[in-house]
Amino acid sequence: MARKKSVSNQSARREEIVDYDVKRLRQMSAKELQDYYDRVEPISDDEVNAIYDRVMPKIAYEIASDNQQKKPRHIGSSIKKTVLVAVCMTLMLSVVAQALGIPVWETVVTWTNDTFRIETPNRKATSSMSESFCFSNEEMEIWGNDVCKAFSEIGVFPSLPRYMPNGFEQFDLYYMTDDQGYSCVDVLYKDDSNHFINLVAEIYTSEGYSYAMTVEHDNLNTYDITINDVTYYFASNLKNNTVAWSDQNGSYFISGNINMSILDAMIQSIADDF
Amino acid sequence: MKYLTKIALAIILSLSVTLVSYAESNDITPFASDLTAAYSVSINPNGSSMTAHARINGYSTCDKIGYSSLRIQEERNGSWVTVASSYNQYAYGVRSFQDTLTYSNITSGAQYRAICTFYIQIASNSDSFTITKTA
Repeated sequence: MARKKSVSNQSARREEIVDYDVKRLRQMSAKELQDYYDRVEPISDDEVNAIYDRVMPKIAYEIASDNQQKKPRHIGSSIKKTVLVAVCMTLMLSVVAQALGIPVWETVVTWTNDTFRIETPNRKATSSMSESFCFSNEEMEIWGNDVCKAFSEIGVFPSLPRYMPNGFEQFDLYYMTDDQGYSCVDVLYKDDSNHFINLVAEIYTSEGYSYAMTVEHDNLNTYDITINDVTYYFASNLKNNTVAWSDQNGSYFISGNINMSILDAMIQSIADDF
Repeated sequence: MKYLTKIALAIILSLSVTLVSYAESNDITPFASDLTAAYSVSINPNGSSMTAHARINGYSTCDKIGYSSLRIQEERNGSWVTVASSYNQYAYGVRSFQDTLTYSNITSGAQYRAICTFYIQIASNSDSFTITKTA
């Protein structure tokens, strides 16, 4: 029993010493602490450096992990992700719509039973200028030097059909450009059988133009085709047929008392270049 | 589930913007014309002025072609007020007609539109169309 008591006393004494040391150590400054530990257990600088090299990476990792956990969640991130996903999906819907022949954003096409309307969306500036800088030999041969010169003076070189039936000759040409950035080319071709082909281009070279063009039709034969990202809208109107499109800062149409198959062949010839 | 709802709402909002502009531009003409190939109107803010162009093309030479009115209107308190106008401009014995109207005192931030009522006539056959375009 006495032995047990002695051990117990020693243990209690040791705890007192530890408590005393802890209290004393807590009150020491950094310099006093260093002196204390040097006195109790001298340690060389190499040993200190070795301990530092071993411990610091762990401490650094712990601090980094802790900061990451404590870092407040970015409030806007989920909203941004939501908007991003929505925009992507909306754009995908737009692409699908365009694939189905419904232009989105660039121009809006509205069909009714007797008209279709091509227009820029409200408050939307017109897009970039023509990427072409000249007409091809085929275009000049089909449409004539005067027409190509008219477009050249305006500074726009739209992709024109490279086919026109034989026998059509230029009958009338009107073109103008004003200081407001509006230009127009209107050229008429006729053959000996009193058939006509009329090309009209209205071009808006000033930023900020909003335009709308309405084409008449009888709803009997309407369809569209897309060539090189430009959609061409075909519509019959009693004894006349029209194809209209929007491209290079303007609206264009070709109409005539000719078969739709001829108009179709004219437009398909635009694709020959691509 | 909440995330999907957010996406759905954002898509609906995006599509609404498209459809609103689509619906806003939907002019309906009562019947097709065998006289007229196409007609157009445009409006362009240029500095302190606003310019409107109007054009109509007939299929053949017309006895009378032009417009009964071409107006530039400004939106004030939810109503469209005519600030510039031209009336009864016609050409005779031609296939097409076009004209320009300019308003040179625009108010910054105001909304403008061009509105034109065309007229075309060959013999006793005539048609009239109205087209509007907002800047």
